[in-house]
Amino acid sequence: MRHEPIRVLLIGDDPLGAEQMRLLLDGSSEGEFAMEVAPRLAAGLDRLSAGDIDFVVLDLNLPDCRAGDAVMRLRQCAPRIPVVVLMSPEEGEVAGQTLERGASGCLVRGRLSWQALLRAVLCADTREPIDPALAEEHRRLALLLDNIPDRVFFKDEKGRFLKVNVSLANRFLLDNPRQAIGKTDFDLFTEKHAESAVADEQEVIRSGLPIVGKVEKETLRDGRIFWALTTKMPLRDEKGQIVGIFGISHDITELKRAELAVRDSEERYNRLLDSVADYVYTVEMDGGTVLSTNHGHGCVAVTGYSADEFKSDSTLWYRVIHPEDRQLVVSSVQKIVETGIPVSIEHRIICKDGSIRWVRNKQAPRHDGAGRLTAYDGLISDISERKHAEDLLRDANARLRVVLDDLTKSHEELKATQLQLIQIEKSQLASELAAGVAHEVKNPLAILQMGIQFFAEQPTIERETADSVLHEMREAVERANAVIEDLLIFSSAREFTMRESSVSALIEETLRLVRPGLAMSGIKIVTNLDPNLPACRMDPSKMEQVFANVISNASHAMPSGGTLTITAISKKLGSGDVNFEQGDRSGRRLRQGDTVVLIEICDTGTGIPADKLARVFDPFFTTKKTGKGKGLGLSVSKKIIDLHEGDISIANVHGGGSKVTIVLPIAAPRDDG
Amino acid sequence: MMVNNMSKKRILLVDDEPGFTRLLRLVLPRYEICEENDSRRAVATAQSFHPDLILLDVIMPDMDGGTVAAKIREDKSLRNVPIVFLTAVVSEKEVANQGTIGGFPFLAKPVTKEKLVECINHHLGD
Repeated sequence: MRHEPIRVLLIGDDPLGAEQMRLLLDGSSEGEFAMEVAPRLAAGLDRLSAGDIDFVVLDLNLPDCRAGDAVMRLRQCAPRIPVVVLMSPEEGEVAGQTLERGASGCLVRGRLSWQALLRAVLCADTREPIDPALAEEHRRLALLLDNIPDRVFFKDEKGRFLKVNVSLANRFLLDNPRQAIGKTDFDLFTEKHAESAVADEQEVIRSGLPIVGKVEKETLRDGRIFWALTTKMPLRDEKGQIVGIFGISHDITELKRAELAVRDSEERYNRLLDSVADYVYTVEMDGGTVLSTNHGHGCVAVTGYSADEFKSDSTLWYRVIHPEDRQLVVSSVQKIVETGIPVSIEHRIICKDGSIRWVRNKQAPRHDGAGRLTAYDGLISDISERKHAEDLLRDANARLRVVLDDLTKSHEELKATQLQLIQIEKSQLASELAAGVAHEVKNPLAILQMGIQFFAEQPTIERETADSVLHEMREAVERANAVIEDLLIFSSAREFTMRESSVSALIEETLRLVRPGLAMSGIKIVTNLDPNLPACRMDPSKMEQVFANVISNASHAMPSGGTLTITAISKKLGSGDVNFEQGDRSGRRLRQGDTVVLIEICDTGTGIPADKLARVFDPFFTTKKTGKGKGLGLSVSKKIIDLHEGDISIANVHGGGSKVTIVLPIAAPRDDG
Repeated sequence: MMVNNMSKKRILLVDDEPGFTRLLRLVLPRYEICEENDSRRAVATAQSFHPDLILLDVIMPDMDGGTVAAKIREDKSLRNVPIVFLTAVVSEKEVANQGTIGGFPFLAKPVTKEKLVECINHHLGD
């Protein structure tokens, strides 16, 4: 930026033009201008001789001179000062003449433009009067240099830029080419690149030989990278001495990138190809004869032989097949030739190193338009690993099978033993049962017998005696009947009619029947029956029998009164709630986590002697001393509970008395209702 | 209960069924029958009643007939009293074979009066 304004001398007497010029100059952002006006050429020349004018604007319509002559005179007097003519649009021919005489440019009145002015001024050749033809040539050259995309540069013998074109200036982000003047490669490129470039140029200067079409990688100081095709030639002066170099650099960055991409892609493809362990091959045929075989590179990985080895040895492919499998391969090929249907076989091969591997050989035929077999393609995959794994698996399976057989056998044996145990138990039970039933039925029968005897013999019988005997007899019949009834239940010979109902309701019903009797015996009843108990699947009459039995036992345990407590709640079974040892042998079990209905019937009676507790559910077992009701009682109740898939247990209670605990599963939701 | 009646033989009937013992007594007025329904008291009752024959049920709560028989035999004064089991847990076939239970003769329930009398007379030595 100059500190002094640029001095402009306007030679002309047109005040309008002067005004326009002044406006133009004042409005510029390029710098400060100071304009002086000389009305005539003579005055202008005088002013020029004073020295400090930077450029002249010459009005074509001078009063004292023709424009062309004026320009010549100006050029002669002040050859270093550019002259720009001010013309009207129709004065084109005159303006042209002035250009030939050495004017640097034209400004058109009414269309004064900065670009025109600047171009004229800055590009003026101020050293000498110009030959018009030369000027034109210079103009053309400048046009070429400034518009082509290639980068053009001139350097002195020290590598300093003398001139560059616009493209180069743009490449290096310079505002205009003049900013490059005096710089070297070291200012624009990295040191490494600059050194190499300078070395080239020095060689050109020294040898006088050009470097034509060199591919260079340019690394700029700001890190950008370009690729260029560069030509550097020696720059000679008029005497022919080499004073520097000039060069032209064609950008091939995109080209280079494309080339690299292709090479990259090729490399990747080759790597891929190399890594493919399968190999493909083609056998070309005519009729049944093989014309040629072509093995892909994958053959190396699979067989150890290279494609060339296969190519040069026409029977190698056959020898590679394991002797025992050759027939298989040959007949599969035959099949393809005959039927044209793709085939897949597995066979062994002998690799170059002598090892044997399993391969899968998939062969697919190719036919021409007429349906004749022209070739078949094959894909060979190494399946040794898989085969090995298959073998291992087969072995493992076989071993497992042996173990499984052993286990099954053991299981069968266990089941047989279990069945035997059950049978033994059953037969023991059966004989106990038979004995018990005999006893329970024969005794009533004995009573009946005595009764019949009594009535048969006595001619006259007292009414009272007769009544009491009949009473005994009736009771005997009922007892016998009841026992048989219990027995039938105990043997599960009877059908249960299951319904979903609430245990609470059932207990209430049972209590209703026995309440009066209990009250008479001085027994207080306390109940805690959840009214919202989930329903259980049960045969209500059988279940009522159970409750009646248990309550009856409880009341017999309290002959002089006491308290009978009955609770019914639902809960989730915890680990301490169910005695699994007592589970039904058929395998039904109540498990921890099951939701159940829990019923407890407690009495405050005498309790059960510890040695008798274990036998409490045995048939015909009773702790009652004498008299009736010596039926199957609890054993039947237990049977009924078992058939309901529940559990019943008895324990003594701290502080006297016994507690019967009954657990029943709740009814599961059923789809069939 | 001690009744000194020389014309009637004394029979101790030990059975936990009061209905049965009562009826039996009604049906056999010719004998003096003492009913004992509690097997644990059988020996003591025998000692005080001095029966000529003891009819003994087998299946009884607390003490079964076999144990009672053994205890009776332990008593010097009762050693020679004939004991006959009267039991439901045998079949008539077994009776016909005239076997014994634990060395004692037995009768099967239900039993007719005729059979009873025949047996009693046999063992009373009439």
